[in-house]
Amino acid sequence: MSESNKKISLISSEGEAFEVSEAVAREFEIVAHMLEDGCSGSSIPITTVDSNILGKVIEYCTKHVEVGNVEGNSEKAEKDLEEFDKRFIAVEMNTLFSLILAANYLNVKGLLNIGCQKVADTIKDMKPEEVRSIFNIENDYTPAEEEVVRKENEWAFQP
Amino acid sequence: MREFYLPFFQLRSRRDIISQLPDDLLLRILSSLSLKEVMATSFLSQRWRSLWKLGSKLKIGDKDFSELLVKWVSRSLAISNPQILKSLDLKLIPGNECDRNSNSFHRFSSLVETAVSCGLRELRIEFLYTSLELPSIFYACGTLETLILCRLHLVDVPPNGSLSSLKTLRLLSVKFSRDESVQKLLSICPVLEELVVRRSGYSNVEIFTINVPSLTSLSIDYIRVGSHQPTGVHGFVINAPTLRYLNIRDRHSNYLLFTNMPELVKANVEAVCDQSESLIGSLASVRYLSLCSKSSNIPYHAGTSFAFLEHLELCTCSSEWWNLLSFIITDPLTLRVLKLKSVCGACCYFQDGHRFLLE
Repeated sequence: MSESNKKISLISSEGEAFEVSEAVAREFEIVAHMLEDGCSGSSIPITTVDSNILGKVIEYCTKHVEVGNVEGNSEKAEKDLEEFDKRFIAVEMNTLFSLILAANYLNVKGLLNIGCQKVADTIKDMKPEEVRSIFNIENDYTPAEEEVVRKENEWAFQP
Repeated sequence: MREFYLPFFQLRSRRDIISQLPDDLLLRILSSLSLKEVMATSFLSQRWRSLWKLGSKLKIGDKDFSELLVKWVSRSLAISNPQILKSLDLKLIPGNECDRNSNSFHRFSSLVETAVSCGLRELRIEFLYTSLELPSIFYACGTLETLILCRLHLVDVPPNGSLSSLKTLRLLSVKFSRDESVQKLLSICPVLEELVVRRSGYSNVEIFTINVPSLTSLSIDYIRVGSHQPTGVHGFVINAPTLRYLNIRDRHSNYLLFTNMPELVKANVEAVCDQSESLIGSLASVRYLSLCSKSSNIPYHAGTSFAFLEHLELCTCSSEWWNLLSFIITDPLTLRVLKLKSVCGACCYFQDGHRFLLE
């Protein structure tokens, strides 16, 4: 049991230390690999993730580790976790993308999945013009090119 | 996968962040959209124009399934997809016209043929309780590893078919013409490792015979039958000598027959069938066993011993559970965890199972 009580410090890009249990740190696959490779130091620098986002990723992993440890009524626990994920990922776009990039870098699969799903849900059922305006995508097609693309994929633009 | 990420300080509002994401992340986002939705993104900007070509998953819902689409897919895959198509996901509402001569059948066949020629690895088809005949070229697909059939009536497989790479097969509420049709399908899968069967009132099979020498994981779900309460002899005959993981939740079978499974490691069994004699005997090699058998009249092979059992979860819903427990645990010294559950969900938990039993 002593191993799972071990504490590890994750250091954000601003140099702030976040102390977490080894079980939580292992949710970051990249950290798990480091530990398995024998990086025995108790502090691990996460230089590309700022404190705000790192704190959130840790919150996500902590919740998932806690729920994973509870014995018993798993259906209810799963539902709670779903609710948690839903609330957790309901953030504004910039934060959402920061979370996706951090989850990708740290290799936190569950978070990466719900993040990408959230973006996909936003794109779904929207006209290209609406998607452009939500994500600030600049339309760099010339009218002639636009016509070619429309021709290429004409079935997709039919109502 | 490319190691690429943005420095986070660049993420300020009113910037197009999404277009700066690396391809693999954008493809991950697009992978849960239907093909039509993915295609619509090619219109956003130059960055998005050719992105779909890098993807290897096609997800096609019913509203996308038009003549134009099938032409487009065939042309696009033929021209511009040098890489393999990993996954095709079809969810269709076939309507009334779905016999051999109908348009939707031709469209469907042509799409599957294109996919097979692009090295299809995973196919999932949901067909809303309608009969489905896969084109014969499909049954010669040497690349397919995963096949998921859902809510459809599968027309018999042709003779000489062979799904030589198929490792995972899921039959979720699939209707077969007769009992032999199941065996025929399984017999053309020489390397099948994982099988999932969800039987329902729609399935139209009496004895579901699973005779697969290569199988290592089997999951059976026979919980819901709707208004089609089955009559007569119905159940499963399972011959899977190399099985390692077994999961059965069966509230309806009145016939269950297992052959020995000497490599079985983990078993979750919930069954009502009285004929569990062969089942209990076949479980003898397990390390992890979760058992719920509502029938109080289970005959056992005398002398079956569970020599390797480490973890036992036993449901106390049968009035004979104590007998069952003492039957299973002839040598409690290997047992580390014993859990007694009842239908109401309450359970006792003993970390050192053998100590509890010895006391």
